Amino acid sequence: MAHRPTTVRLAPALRVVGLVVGGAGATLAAPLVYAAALGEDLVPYLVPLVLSGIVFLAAFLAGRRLETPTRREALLAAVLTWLGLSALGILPYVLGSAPGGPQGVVDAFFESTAGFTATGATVMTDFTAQPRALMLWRSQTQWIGGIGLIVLAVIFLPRLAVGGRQLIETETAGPQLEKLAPHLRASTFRIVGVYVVLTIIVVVGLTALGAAGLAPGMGPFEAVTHAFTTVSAGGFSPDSRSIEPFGPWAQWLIAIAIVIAGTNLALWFRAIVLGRVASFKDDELRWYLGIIGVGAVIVLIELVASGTYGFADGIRQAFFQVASITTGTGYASADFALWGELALGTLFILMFVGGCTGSPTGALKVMRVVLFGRVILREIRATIHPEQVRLIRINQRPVNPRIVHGVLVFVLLYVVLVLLSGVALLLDPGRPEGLNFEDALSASAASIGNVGPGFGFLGPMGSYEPFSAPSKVFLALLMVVGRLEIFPVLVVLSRAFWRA
Amino acid sequence: MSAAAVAPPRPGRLRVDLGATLSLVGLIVKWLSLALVAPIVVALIYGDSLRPFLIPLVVGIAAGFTVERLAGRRANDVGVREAFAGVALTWLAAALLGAAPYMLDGGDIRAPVDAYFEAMSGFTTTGASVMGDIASHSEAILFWRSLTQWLGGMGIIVLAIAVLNQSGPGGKALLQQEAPGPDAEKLTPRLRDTAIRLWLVYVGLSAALAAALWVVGLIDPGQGMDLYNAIAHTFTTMSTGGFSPEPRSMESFGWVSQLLVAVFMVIAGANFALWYRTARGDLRAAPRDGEFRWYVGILATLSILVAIALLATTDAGWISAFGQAAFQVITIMTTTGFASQDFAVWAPFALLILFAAMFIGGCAGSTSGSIKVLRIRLALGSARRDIETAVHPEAVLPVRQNGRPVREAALQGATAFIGLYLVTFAVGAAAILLIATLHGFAIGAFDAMVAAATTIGNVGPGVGEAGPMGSFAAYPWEAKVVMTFLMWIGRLELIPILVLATRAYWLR
Repeated sequence: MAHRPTTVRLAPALRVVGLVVGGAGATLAAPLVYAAALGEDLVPYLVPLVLSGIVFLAAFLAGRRLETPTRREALLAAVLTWLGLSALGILPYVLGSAPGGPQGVVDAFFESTAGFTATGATVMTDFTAQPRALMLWRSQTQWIGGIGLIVLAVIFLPRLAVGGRQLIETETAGPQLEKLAPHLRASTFRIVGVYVVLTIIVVVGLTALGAAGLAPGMGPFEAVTHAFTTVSAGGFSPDSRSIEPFGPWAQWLIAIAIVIAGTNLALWFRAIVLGRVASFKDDELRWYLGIIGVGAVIVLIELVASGTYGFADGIRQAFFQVASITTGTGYASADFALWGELALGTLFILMFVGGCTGSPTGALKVMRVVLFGRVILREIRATIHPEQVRLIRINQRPVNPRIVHGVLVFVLLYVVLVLLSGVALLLDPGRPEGLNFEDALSASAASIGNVGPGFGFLGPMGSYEPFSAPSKVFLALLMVVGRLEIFPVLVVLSRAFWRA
Repeated sequence: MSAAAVAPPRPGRLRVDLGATLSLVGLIVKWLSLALVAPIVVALIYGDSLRPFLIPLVVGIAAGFTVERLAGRRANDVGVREAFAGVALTWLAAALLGAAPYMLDGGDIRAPVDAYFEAMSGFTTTGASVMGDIASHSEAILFWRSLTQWLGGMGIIVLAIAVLNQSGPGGKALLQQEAPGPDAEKLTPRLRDTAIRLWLVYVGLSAALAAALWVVGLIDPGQGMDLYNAIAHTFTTMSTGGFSPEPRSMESFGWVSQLLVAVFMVIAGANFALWYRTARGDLRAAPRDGEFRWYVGILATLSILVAIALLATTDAGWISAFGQAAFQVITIMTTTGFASQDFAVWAPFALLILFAAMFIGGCAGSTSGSIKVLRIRLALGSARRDIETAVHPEAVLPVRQNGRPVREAALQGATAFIGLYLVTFAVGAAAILLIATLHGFAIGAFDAMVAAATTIGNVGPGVGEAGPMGSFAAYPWEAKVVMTFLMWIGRLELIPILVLATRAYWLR
């Protein structure tokens, strides 16, 4: 690390933001072409496309005279990139959405943030009235956000050495951000490669189901948009009833794809491309599948006992919903907001879990949950022999105590942030009529965990539309904070960050 | 691990000395039964029935004596390992003794589950009640109810160590398991001296408050504070318990009495070691202490927030709003649970702040429950350090408390405790909600969360019909069992109880 007593310079950070946001803006070409093909309005995509081209060029040209960003500047760039992406996404909605969509700036910001952070919360109330190209863009933002997250998770967070993230990418973790070793880039490409291949498989699978008449209403457009938001654990659906209308076959396919998207994608690369099948003997993977299994059984009990579904349908509904909520996707195969207390309570707890590390999912991540559980058990056991040093192990390897402590602090911070944010929503004088404690908590947990739908009126078939403008901005910021795993935002806001 | 290499483990053998453990429990029950003499005196004065107290007095002494005898009178053999089971069992047994008068008296809490709930709520200084009609109970019963809180406040076992000088090699562990807070501060090298001093400070402060309340009542009869109420409320103020013989709690008394009680709640929620040092002449002991400063700062901040809420939503004046807010924040955060007003009807904002305060508690080494300011401070300190490490990866930054670096193990312990506390709370709330749903007892998730938070934090009042002027009487009996468990595990700070559930504790 270069030991220059620098303060943080904005220019190198902004250059990174410009490159990333400009590059992401280039993908507006897809909805532009689609709109042209359908004869829809082109302006909503053309204007931001041109603007992002200008931003990209400016950043690119300015870069020749700028040094590489330092560690702190890169961190600042990571935080600002997410805000920049959200800002980019405002324009297509403002210019293109029909009534019942995010027409105002605040609504557009909310929808755009829910897209790029792969949260999947929506303020739309009328889905069918919106231009199809806009719905393509909406799903596409989640897919792009998923790639952004992989880069974030692989490159930035492990180096930040907070929240226990450094443990996670053992393969790639290194001490310094400046020396992005070639193997680091390689592993990013590997994970993104798995991501892309998985997307293609889901598109093909869904299209085939639709063509075979097994999934009513599943055409190529639906297949692509749903694949985008499945693999990214995003959860936007161009259909107001989410996955419900497409029938059991599509639901099973999507449920399995969701579970795969929530695993550590690097494992798949190692297993399939490198032939190391033993990679699947992974602590985190086992716990992940175990949590989904146990959650599904509990929800199934509630569904069958209450007579909501028979056993066969109950299995599908329970498995789909538990997989969707645990990974933070937020699809619904039925309006789960109407289910009983036991099912809702289980889903609420699962909102905190998230998928595995190395996946595009949000929330705590299974690794942290497992470590948290092990620390607590150790703390209880250690009372008998306080002098004995007991290491916590993952995959038989001892974990550095500092990392363990970082995980512990992160989990607490996360839970407290969810609670306080839920309270903050209740304090908004313009809160929706009848917003109760449970619904407010579900909104904050679903936003910070990048899940999407909550309970009550903001359930899977509902919308966040009734929230006031300040609450919507607040929730959108929570999505960004959750996506960045809290600490980077705190660090950028800390005094130490800006001092030399 | 090296010890295991020296002595080969013999699997399946019990490694806890049950004889010593039970001797300790029997010994303490035997002496604790004598406390029933106090309500007997009250019963004589007010002409109440003596039976509810005489029977447990005799039975308690006899049972304690028998258990101690049968177990071999080896309370002095209690080691570190026995201390866990000893403390856990002693508190269960004490609550049994406390429940007997309620059952024998035949009032509205004579059902065993109710009586045990009320007794556990007493000794753990929770103050949650299942009494439907407080006024229907005799003065003696209500006096006993307040006395259990006073006894539990500084700790039954600490009292036993002080009075009986009964502590073997496990004495320090006993003190550690029972005293609230991550680290029981040693006031003196000798354990018994520490216990004596803690109780002396406690008794001294209690005497001061009782005298003050009584004098106030004498000077101004409009305060409604007679000698009986002065003593009863002293018991439940100094222990941060919160039982009141008055159905309207502190609302029945004038503002001077309320102010006195508020001040002493703040004192009781602070570390008693500070008051010991203050009494020894170090007047700046408390203001210099980092935890104490945070404690007062949090109290002040939350009071102002609640006062703003009251000013915005009610037509209360400035002084009244601030007074009510401060009293309520103090009583909830110190985990006392008195009420000067029915805060269950306050605006949601105020209610949520009080709910949050339930998770804070007072200082380590106080009579309060919940998480404690010190642990919150250490956890925040390590979060802050993590942020600074992210900026300066090479820097070694210790977390400091009163200028001294805190050991990493203590940091880890504090953070893990908070995690464990929240998990236990969540499990408890879920259990209460589930039981209520199965019984068709209509409470929302928030009510269930408050019920769990108020019992595990030893606070007392809930919301809805379990509010400060109400009681938990209507809750299903299984929910009462869960709450009784939460009070017990909360008072002993979770880990001494949870360790009993591990195999490694019992067997080698």
